[in-house]
Amino acid sequence: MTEYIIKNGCVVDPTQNINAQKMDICIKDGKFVDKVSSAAKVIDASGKLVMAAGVDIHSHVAGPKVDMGRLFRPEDKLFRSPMRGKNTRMEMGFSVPSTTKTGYDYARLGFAFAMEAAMPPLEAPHVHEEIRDTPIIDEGAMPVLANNWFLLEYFKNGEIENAGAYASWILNATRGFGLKCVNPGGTEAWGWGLNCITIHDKVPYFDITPAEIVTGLMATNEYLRLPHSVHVHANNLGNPGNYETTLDTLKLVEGFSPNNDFGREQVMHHTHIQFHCYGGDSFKSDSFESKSKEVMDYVNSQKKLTVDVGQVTLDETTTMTADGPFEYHLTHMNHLKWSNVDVELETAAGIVPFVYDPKTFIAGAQWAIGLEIALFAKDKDRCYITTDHPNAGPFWRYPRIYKWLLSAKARNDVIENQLKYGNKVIDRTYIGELADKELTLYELAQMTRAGVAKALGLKDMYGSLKTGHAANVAVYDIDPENLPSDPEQYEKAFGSSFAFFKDGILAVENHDIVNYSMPKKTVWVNSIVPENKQVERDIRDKFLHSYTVQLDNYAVFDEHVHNPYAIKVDITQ
Amino acid sequence: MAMSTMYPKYSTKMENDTVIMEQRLLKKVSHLVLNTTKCTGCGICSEVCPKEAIVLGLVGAVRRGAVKDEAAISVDPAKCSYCGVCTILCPFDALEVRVDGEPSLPIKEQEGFPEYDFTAEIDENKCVRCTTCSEACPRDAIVRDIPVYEGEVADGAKRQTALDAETTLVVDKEKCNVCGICASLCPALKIKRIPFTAEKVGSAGEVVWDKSLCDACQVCATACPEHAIAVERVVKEGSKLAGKVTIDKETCVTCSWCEKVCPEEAVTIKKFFDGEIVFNADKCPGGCSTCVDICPCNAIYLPSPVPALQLKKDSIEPTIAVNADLCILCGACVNACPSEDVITIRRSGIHVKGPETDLFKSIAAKLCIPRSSKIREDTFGQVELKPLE
Ligand code: SF4
Repeated sequence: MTEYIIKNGCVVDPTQNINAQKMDICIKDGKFVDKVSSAAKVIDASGKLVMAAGVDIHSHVAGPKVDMGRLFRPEDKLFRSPMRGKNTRMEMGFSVPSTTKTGYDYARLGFAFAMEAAMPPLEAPHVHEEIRDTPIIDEGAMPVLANNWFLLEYFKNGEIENAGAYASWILNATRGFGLKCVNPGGTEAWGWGLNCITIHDKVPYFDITPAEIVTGLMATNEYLRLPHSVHVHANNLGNPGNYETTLDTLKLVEGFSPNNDFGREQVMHHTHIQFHCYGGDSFKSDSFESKSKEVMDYVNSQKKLTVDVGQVTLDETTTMTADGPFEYHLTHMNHLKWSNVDVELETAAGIVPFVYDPKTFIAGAQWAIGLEIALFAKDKDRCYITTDHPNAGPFWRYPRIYKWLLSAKARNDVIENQLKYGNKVIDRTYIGELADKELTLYELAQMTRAGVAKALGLKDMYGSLKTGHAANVAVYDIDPENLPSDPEQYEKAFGSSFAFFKDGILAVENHDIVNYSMPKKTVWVNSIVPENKQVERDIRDKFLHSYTVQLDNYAVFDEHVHNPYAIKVDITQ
Repeated sequence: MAMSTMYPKYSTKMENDTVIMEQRLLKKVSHLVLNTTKCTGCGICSEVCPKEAIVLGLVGAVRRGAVKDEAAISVDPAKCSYCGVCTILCPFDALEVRVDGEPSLPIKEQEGFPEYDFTAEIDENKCVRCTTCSEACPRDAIVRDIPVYEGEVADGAKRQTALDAETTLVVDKEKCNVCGICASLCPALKIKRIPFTAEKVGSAGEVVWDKSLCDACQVCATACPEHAIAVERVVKEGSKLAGKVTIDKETCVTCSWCEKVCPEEAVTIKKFFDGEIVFNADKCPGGCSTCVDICPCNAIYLPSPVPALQLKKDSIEPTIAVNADLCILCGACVNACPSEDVITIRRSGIHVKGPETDLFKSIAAKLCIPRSSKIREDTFGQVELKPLE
């Protein structure tokens, strides 16, 4: 059918150890092939960078809390929504973009896949409806499970097979992708207005600690042999001195080994770790300090861990997380509007706008800490660039982060010209120590494509230009053989791909979105476990007594999932 | 012929708060009168009735006021022999037998029958006339014969009359310049002023004190610019409020709330039933609380939830509980409870005085059958319990 040849591009593909090599990329019928006929349409990529399409491991792009953010922040759209384009539908919103803007912006960035980071199982239909309306990109969604009553009980009793049977049922019922853990135990405690700050604080009634929950989730995840590992947002987010909780949490991996057929090597992915690397005991500049080195020293030494950054972009944005108590804490710090939802038996969420103002010491320090994490990471296949969109900043600021990482000059410019307390930030963080570190494009490809896909267990679907893989590829206006002297060029080029193919369909041509109606996929994990009468009974019992919906109406209906793509994992074989 | 079909004539009628059962003979008319405001649905009458003329109906609904024009018990006026056993044994004083309009207890007069023997006393020497017992008593059985003071009602007795004390007020005439401040502050003080006259310009006179109005509050002494006033009060040893607090034995049901709350340990209550009450909260469905609403002694409660911080799997509060110390084993809760086996009552003894006749002994044996409620009853619309053992 359709054939394309991306000619003369300079290719960077860590999955094949290709580092800035001039070569042609051929596409036929949605896949990379070795050769195409002369009828193939030619994309001239000479003097340009060719990379596999980007993969986002953690982004809040669909579901009830994102929508709440859109609803209660109309000002987020005011004067900030571009006019409708030639081939596109309306695009709205700055920090919490509408579904259409989300899809287009990812396409402009050259991304093929985004993982919705926190799906309340009960609200799964909402997530899937928004996924349907998000154009171009493939998506998955992780059900939040670290405050789930069933699991708290199974973990308390040490019943990993039961936990596995339940988690498997949830993945199937919600068409979910993996096991997400947000403020383990703390969000349930928030149901009573309380929180768990350390990994040893007991959850009221359930009498279980965050440490037991996280280890329970890891055991369950490896028992189910899932493609992705447990995806953790630890306790005590955002508080000075929290790096100790972070290290305590990370060290929980020590008793576990990965068990899967997807090439995944980690047993825990710790997300937006920037928010978890704080020292000191207050936000004052004579106390607060970066502990990124301490945390990254451990991450670097521990092969069973992957992390993503959660880079602060110094914008006015919207925070939204299933960490209910944290959001409440935040609204008391910045006195901006706060929204909260507690989801029966499962989780909670909070939303608060936040301004990372470069005129404050703390925003500057957070900015520095994020970059330190990326720069300290020894193994770039295990550290990924995210903004915890939109918590630390909107995802479409990724190109700006790439600029800061690829160019020391760009970082210096921020410290000297944008941050009010640049010197204090240098005093209290490691950013000064890293003054002449710069990432290479090869490392950037590891941190945004190859590594991410591997950590998700999706290395055969995304992040690579290997022959036979789905043709997801982006072409940028950067010449790896002649890198731009002006760092702004990085931001510009990565923000507006020259060409972008999604599953072999040309979605962006010459910087313009030309096609958005391709059949995007919803990637989910179809977990198959041995029959478990106990868990079936428990589920029926809880639905009868505690849920407000009926069991029959809980699971997402087949027709509610847009182009489902199931990854089957059968542990009964 | 006609006569025999007409007499005896039976009827039941409800008038406001009373239900009147009537047996009319040619020359004699007997009534059994039920006071529905006093009836608690305890069912003792129905257990003790020698003729089995009394049945229990919608105890919970009637007592909660959800059903009007109906009483917790119903008596068949034709089966009733107007003997008065129910009247004697009703702990709540809700039934009365009248013959030809006069209160009458034929069974006591003719055969002899005992009555409840119990203690309900307040030791006058220990009692300080506080308000605790009268507020705690669920049956309004405390008679508080104490003057009402101004603290309770504005025109009550003056508070200075409450204490047995000797108060003195001395004005130092040397120092007093008859300024009038004290009198302007206090109704107990007046200035008897020598009228001002141009002949001798100055302020003179005397301060007059009305002892009965003085509180010994010291405001006058403190306000006097010349420090001319001295007030002293000596309270008599053991002084307490006038009057007396007693228990009305007709109304008292021996729940012992007053005994438990009395700060001076002045009350002695001895119950008329011995035995035990047990709640098996696991079987209570929750969300009902009928027993709590209808318990005449306020002995049943919904346990308070444990605060989240202390919450453990095994610390969830029970759905329902009773304070057995306050329970009189009347049985109303068992009659009203819609569940089975939640509440069990076992009476083991009945304290009575008077002749313990055979009739009484057989009645006492019935009262001592342990019981719980049951879900499925044989006769529609009437309480039937589940005898245990
Ligand atoms: S014990 Fe019986 S009457 Fe009391 S609340 Fe429970 S079900 Fe209702």
